[in-house]
Amino acid sequence: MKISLGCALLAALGCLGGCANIGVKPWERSVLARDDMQIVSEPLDASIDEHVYFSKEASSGGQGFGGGGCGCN
Amino acid sequence: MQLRRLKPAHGPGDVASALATATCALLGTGAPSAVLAQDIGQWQVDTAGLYYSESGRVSDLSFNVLARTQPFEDRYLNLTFSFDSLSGASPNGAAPSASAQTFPRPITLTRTSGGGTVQSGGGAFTVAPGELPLDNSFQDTRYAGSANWQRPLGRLGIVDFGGGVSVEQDYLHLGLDTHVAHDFNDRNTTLSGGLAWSDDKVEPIGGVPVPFSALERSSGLGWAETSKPKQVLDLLVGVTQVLSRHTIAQLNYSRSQSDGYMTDPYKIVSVVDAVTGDLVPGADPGIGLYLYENRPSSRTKDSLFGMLKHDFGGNVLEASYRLMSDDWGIDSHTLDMHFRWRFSADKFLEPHVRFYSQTAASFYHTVLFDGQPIPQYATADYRLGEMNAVTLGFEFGAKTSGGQFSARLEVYRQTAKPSPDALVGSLRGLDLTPDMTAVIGQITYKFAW
Amino acid sequence: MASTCEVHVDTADREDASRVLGSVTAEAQRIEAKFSRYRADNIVHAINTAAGDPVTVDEETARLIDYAAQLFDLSEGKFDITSGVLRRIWRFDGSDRVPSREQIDGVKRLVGWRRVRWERPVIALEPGMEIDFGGIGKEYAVDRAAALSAPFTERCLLNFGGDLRALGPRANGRPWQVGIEAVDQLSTASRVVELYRGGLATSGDSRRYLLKDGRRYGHILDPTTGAPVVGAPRSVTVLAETCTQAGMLATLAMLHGQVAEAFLEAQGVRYWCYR
Repeated sequence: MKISLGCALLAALGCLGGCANIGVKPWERSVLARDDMQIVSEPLDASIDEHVYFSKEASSGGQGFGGGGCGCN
Repeated sequence: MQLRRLKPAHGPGDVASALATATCALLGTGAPSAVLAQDIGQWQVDTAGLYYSESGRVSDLSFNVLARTQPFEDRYLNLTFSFDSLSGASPNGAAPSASAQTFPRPITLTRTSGGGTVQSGGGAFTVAPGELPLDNSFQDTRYAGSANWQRPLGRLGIVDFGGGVSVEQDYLHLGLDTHVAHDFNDRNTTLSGGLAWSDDKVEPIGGVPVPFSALERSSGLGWAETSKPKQVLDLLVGVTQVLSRHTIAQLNYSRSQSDGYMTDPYKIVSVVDAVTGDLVPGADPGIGLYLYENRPSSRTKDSLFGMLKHDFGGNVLEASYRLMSDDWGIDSHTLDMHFRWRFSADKFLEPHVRFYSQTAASFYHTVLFDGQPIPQYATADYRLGEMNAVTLGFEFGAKTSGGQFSARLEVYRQTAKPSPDALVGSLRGLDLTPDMTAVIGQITYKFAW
Repeated sequence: MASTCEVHVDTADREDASRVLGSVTAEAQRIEAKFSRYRADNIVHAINTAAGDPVTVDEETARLIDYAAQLFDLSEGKFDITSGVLRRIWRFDGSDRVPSREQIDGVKRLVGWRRVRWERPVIALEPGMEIDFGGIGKEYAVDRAAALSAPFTERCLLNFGGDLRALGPRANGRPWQVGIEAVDQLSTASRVVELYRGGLATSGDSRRYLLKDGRRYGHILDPTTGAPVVGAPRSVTVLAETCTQAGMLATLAMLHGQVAEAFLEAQGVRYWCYR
């Protein structure tokens, strides 16, 4: 499953790289500039959730890392 | 948030203030209001208090702070601090049994800094028939902090460096991480990469148990090791893409390699009769046979994560999906969705739903069977077993004069499945992995300083 | 104004928005008509074609001339509204047609505020001299139009070709996101300023310059030499209480050439300087 995951990602990245026309002009970014439209709009909530689910489940991360391991799992 | 005025140089007078006076006269509108713009040196602070409580089990009270500032042009500093206080009863790994169970608290020796030894433990706790054994001596306090420094890399990129520390009574974590990101296509595409290194030390209370040794009153006396290390190396690569004026997406691939001590030093596995499912006698009279668990000393995880965010006229839908697979045999799926509904200019309501499912680790055994050879690795920790979980929550937020206040309430329900081969004899009629329900309440206050 | 003028209004009231747009447009057009040097029917034309005769001006024009006079003093002669005649020999079209010393000297003798007779409300220029409000006009228009919008709403941002004034933040208290153009890439905003209230103006040569023998001649002219300011930054953006102040500080900074940054530091204003 590891290898096919990696392949899937590379294919997806390749697709996105080729789509150089997708996007907006700099003056069309008013909505995207809002705090709640950032990829990580609530960093504190994200790290709190990550800590809860890391302690209670077998998976962690995905969107980022760092923030500390702990003895909870 | 006043514009900071620097000390004027000595010279023929302050041109700016003479100009200000002259401009007032020109415009004839009286002194204008002061400039208000995002200034360097201001702090954005987010604080949150959290209460987490599993019904009948563990609860956690925590306090978290995130502070961000731009001390110089294009340089950003992020600081975090968190404090957790955990208490309550936690499953010790033993399975429910048709008969009552007694668990001794092993006498253990801890070396003190003075060179002597301290004996702790002793006593025992009992569990009624059919009930999930929970050890209520679980208590811990954790302090953690981190710092991150970000600066530009070229005209279209950034680089950041961070470090973190986490301290508990029996666990110490030190970590370093770095990220780079670069924009392309008129800043519509961002490629990013990150690397993180963790150096942890586990120092279990009473010492490191010998794997698969039996739980007995005196078991702690034979444990020579007091601490074990663990290192983790994480790699992440990702691409973020603006899809439209209202949509943004992200795709990440990450790989995590852990080496070292990953066993839970406090957890045991029940050994039962292969036909009847009843407890078999252990080392001490009146006590069953329970063996300390043992996990592999290496774990490789791969994750693929995708997220989409779309704006619907001021309301935001965020949906993400994460696929995880590791060499412990665990595969998991996580679907997470938030919808922020701004029903007025300064208030919002945000429902949240999360679905999670994982398969069992190859060495997950709800129980081990008497007479069969002990496997190389075994754990009965239901968190490594087959499990589904659902989170349902609501958050309410409102702007205040100083910042923003929000409160969220969530319910988290886990449904775990025992190993298929564990359902023998008397165990068939028992709920070996009862559902767990937790309530999460959080209050957040954000302000500028 | 020779550039696109916009007004951003954050309101749910269509009436308010259209009143603001109406008053801003009317004011911009009025100031353009009154102070443009390209028209043959306004006060500027009258002053410039009086051939030495005195001209009586109205209150608003008098205030602008007073302002220009103060700027002349504050800049120690570097900001001079009579320097517009130099445009006859300097055309900043990206070519390499740099005027000769003789051409410069020929026109320079028509430059010099000190030679203007200004006794409010009467002004008299020597024959051949001209005054030009181009250096003040656009920023002044922004602030005047903003003042006329204020009774309808404070949640507006005016942008006349890069000269901005925000009366107040947007409806949810969030700031206006303003991108400051980097001089090397004309289309990618290199810095975003979060503006709640205030004026922002840029003085720079991104689009108007001459290039000869590898030397770049910016379009800010030094009236004392008749040629572009030596060592001027490529672009200066200043944040101040009003657009007029921001614009004047940016222009004064450019006129300081090599020591533009030192000048701006000494004024204690927030600025962005590109070289």
